[in-house]
Amino acid sequence: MKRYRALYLSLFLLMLLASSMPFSNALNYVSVTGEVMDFDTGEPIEGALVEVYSQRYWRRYSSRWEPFQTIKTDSEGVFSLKIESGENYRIIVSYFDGDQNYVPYGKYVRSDFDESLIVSLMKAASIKIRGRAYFIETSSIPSNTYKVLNATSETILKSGDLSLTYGSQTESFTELVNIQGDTVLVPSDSRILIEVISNVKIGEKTSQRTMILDDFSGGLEPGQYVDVDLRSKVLPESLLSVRNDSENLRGVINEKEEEGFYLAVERHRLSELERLIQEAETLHDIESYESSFTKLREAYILYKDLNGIVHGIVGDAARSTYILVVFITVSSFILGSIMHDSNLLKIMYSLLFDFILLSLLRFLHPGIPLIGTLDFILVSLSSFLFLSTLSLIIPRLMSAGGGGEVSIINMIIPILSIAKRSLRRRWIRFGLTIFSVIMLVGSFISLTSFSTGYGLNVKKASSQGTDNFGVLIRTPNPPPEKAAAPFSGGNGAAGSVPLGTELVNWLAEDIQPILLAPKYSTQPQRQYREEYNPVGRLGNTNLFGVLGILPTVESSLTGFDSLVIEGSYLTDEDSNEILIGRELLSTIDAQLGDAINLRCFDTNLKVKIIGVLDDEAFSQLRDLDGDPIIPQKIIEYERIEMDGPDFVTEGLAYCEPHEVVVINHKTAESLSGIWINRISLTLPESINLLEFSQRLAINRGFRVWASTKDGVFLSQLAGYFEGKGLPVIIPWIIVMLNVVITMLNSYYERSREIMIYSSIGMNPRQISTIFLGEAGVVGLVGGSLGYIVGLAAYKFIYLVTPSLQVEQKVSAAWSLAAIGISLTAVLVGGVVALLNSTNITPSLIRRWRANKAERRTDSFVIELPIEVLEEELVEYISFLEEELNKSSKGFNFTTKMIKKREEDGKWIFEFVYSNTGTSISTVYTKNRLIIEKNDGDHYLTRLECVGDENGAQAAGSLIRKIGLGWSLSRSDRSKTSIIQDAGDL
Amino acid sequence: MRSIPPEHKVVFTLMDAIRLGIGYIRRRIQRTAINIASVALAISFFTSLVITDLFYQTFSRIGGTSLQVDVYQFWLVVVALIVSIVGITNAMLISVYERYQEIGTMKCIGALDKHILMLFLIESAIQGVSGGVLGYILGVLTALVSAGFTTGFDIILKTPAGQLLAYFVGTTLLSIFLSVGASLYPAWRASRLNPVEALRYEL
Repeated sequence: MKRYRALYLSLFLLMLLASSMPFSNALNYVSVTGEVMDFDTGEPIEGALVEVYSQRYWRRYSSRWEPFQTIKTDSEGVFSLKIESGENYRIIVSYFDGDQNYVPYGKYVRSDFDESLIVSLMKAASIKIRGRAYFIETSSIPSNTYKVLNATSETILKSGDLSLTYGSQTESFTELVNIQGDTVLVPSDSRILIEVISNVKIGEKTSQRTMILDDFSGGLEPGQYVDVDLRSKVLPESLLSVRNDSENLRGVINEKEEEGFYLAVERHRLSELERLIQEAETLHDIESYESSFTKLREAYILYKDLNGIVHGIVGDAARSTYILVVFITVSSFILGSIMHDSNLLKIMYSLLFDFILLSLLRFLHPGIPLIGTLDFILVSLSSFLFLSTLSLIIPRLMSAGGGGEVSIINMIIPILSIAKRSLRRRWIRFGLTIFSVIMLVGSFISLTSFSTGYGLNVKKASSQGTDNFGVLIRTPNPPPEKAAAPFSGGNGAAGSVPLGTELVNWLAEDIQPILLAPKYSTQPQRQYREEYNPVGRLGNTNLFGVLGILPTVESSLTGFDSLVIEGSYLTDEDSNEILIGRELLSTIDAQLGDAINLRCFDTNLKVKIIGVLDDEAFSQLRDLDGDPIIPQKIIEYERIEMDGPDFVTEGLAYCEPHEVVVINHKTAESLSGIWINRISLTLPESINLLEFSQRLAINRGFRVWASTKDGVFLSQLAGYFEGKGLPVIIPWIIVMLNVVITMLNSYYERSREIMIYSSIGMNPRQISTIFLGEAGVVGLVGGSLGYIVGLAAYKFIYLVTPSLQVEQKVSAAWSLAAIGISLTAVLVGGVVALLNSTNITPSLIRRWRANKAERRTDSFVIELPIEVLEEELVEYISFLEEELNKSSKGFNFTTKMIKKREEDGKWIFEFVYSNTGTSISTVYTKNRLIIEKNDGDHYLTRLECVGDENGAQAAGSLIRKIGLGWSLSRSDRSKTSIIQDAGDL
Repeated sequence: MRSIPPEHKVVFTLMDAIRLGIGYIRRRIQRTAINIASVALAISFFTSLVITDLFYQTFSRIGGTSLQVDVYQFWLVVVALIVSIVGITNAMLISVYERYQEIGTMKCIGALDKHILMLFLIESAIQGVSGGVLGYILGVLTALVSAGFTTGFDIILKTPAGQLLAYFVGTTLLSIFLSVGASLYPAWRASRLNPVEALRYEL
């Protein structure tokens, strides 16, 4: 028996435990009773709402409080609850009546024992917070929390165990007692402050701004209702901040102008900035806060841009100094070299010019003081020493070589010497040309202005007004790296950045439009690779887009309901209904009214087909901005097969109607991967749509289209380019023409000199380099001096035109541009002159005359000194044909009626030559160019020319020139073949 | 001093100068064309601005917005005119060098300094007239294109013809004045040439 005692005892204890379980449930409840009374009078409050929150169901996951039980107090102000013991509870007591409100009360309760509470509610005054605490630094919409502070101690007031906090913060009384988000209930007759904490996203970071509302520090009457416009509190601070920024910037501009910078454009923009601030202040004074904020934000954007530009100019100016010193030293050397041939005197003159020009630069260029005088002197000296050494060493390094053709590099010094001598001989003409180049560059530097900026950009998207007056909002175009994400193998969404639902709420609350139509659509994604990125399926058919609309509003704005050709249109209320195109309906082999599974990314929904859309009309339906309403998808543009994964180029395209289903907004919100893509608004007539769209663009950073009777306008914040002084191209052309005349005459005058060069072995390329060298010298000297003249002009512009709005060009890029503009003018002029000159290779064409000795019967016969090999013949014939055809478009002469034929082993070209350009009388000849085999293996060329002697001379010159071209090209070819042969070896 | 009998006087009329000037221009048509083009460009730029301004004034008078041409553009016109003058001076100087022997010959057969001066000035005046007329036409077209989009292209019909004509006369005179002015130094230099040295001169 004893051995069973333990077993019996165990069974007894087990039974005892089992029998005690129902009792234990009853024992787990404790009673909480309470009495709610007025804090001042002690009278009970009937109808006070008592809400119990528990963490019980969330214990495992978080400390979140969930509503558990709600009751109201009786006529004695008493309430009674039964709650489980051993748990934590939060009891919130509130009482709101239209006339009498109490400050809500919160208490934490640990339900170990029965508890009796006395809740004294304080009479409340209501503060209605209007507007939002917008900040000029960001376009994001802030979320505000309001804390009620004791005005004396500036500590947060508590109502029971809870801090008296309202607003968007979780666990605030706004959320707990379900009052309007912009209402703050504060204890009456208490000296209080309201601390407003705004969480705002600036760039990628969320920052917190705090301000104190001290209008109520004297206390408020019970039941008093106070209206506070938060913007009236935030704006003065922002106004002051931008005003201070603007003042500081003015100080910087003044300081920089004293240092020698010409900041007329920047000063003008600063005036614009101050005007905007002034307007913002005026609008604030008349309590037009929204407009005031818009002006202020515009001012802030302008300030940021301008501040960056002003500081950028200063940095650029310092950097450009080094480049300018080098250019000026080079120009000084050129001038010094022109002055004298002796090395010593050359360097002395160069030093003198360098000193004069650099002194001028020191006086005129504001960037030099920034790098310091010592640095400037060091850079100047080192560049001079370097160039002096170079000018002495290079001529000794150059050599004519051991025979054969002298390379162009080794010809530089002689070519420059010849150019120098020519410049010296024709110094008046070249002096005048340099003067015109100086004028050109000086005017380019001082009278043109090319600037970039960032700000509000309004452009006409369409000049046709529409019947649907309204506004359409999209996010700004995504940065290229984000837009490119899907195409580079990332998982990002393509297309524009989605708009958030908080924006819809903000628009509904703050703008209060007549109609508000968010359009939901799927963003093309990369994570689904099968069948080329479908976003979901309808039954077994792939879908590439899902479109969600607010049916009634969309039908008013875009006439979407008219697309339904069968069945019915969607309603705002009924979920899980879809519209599909006719083609898709037949693809899935379904009927109207059928229920079918819709999968969108990872969510599935049973939906009913209630209407059929006209495919064609659906694909044509467009939004206010002209974009199709239909969603976009990713398509494959090109695929290159490779050893590893294929190289694929992808892009965006609009879906076909049979790839899309249409649902209403409620269904859209229950699906994943579907976002608000745009919002359309219809506004009251009193609102100016264009102004409103600009305000949204400035304040919120959206791209906003406004459809008005004058057309559709797009407003957005964007960079812009402003160019003034583009007509400088006219002086540029005139200077170029001037150079053409100078160079042409230089050529005509020096034909005998050129023949000598030619006879001593200089080839056409080398001879033309002499002319281009002269032009280059003119360009470099003119460019450098012109830049200094341009800089000097800034000093005198004030005297003649105080308001001339030009940007000072003191950056490195502009220094190079100044040299570039002069070099291009003179080199283009030089090349045009060389091309227009009759021939620059007199040694090869030689002096010749088609005299009577060459005249046979009725025509002049001109034998060309060219022998062509059998294997070259085909190429030679096509060369002749090409050149004769080219000559048909000649400026001074022309070839016409060109005919080619082969006859008895001879090739014959017949053509007419006429010269109408430069001679007093017009010449006209009929010609036959005959290519005929001689006794040996060669072909000879002969021109038979019918006309007068002048004509024969001119036509003969042309053919000789063509022959010369052939000889030169043959020489090049033979070189190539030699190199190839060497390579083979 | 014995006076020269009337039958021995050298007669060189304005018509002779024009005839010779045209002949020279024809012989060097390419270079003259470039010269005229540069004058025409500068004048057309000037004309386009003043005519645009005139169109804007007309537009404002008939009830349109008040518009004006940017000041800096007039400064660019000044630059364009200066470089054009420099170009003409340059070209005329070249012309003088080329015609040293011709000038020497003319002087040998009795041409006076004033005849040579007149010859060169007439030549430049012809270039000035051509450049002025061409520049005016181009300028009016440019002004019409630049202002037309704002004021409407029929603005030219609403602008008083008298004013357009006055501008035509003004710009042509300006062009002649600039061309002749730019040629004064080269012409003076040519007229002062010693015929013996001129004949000996070789390019």
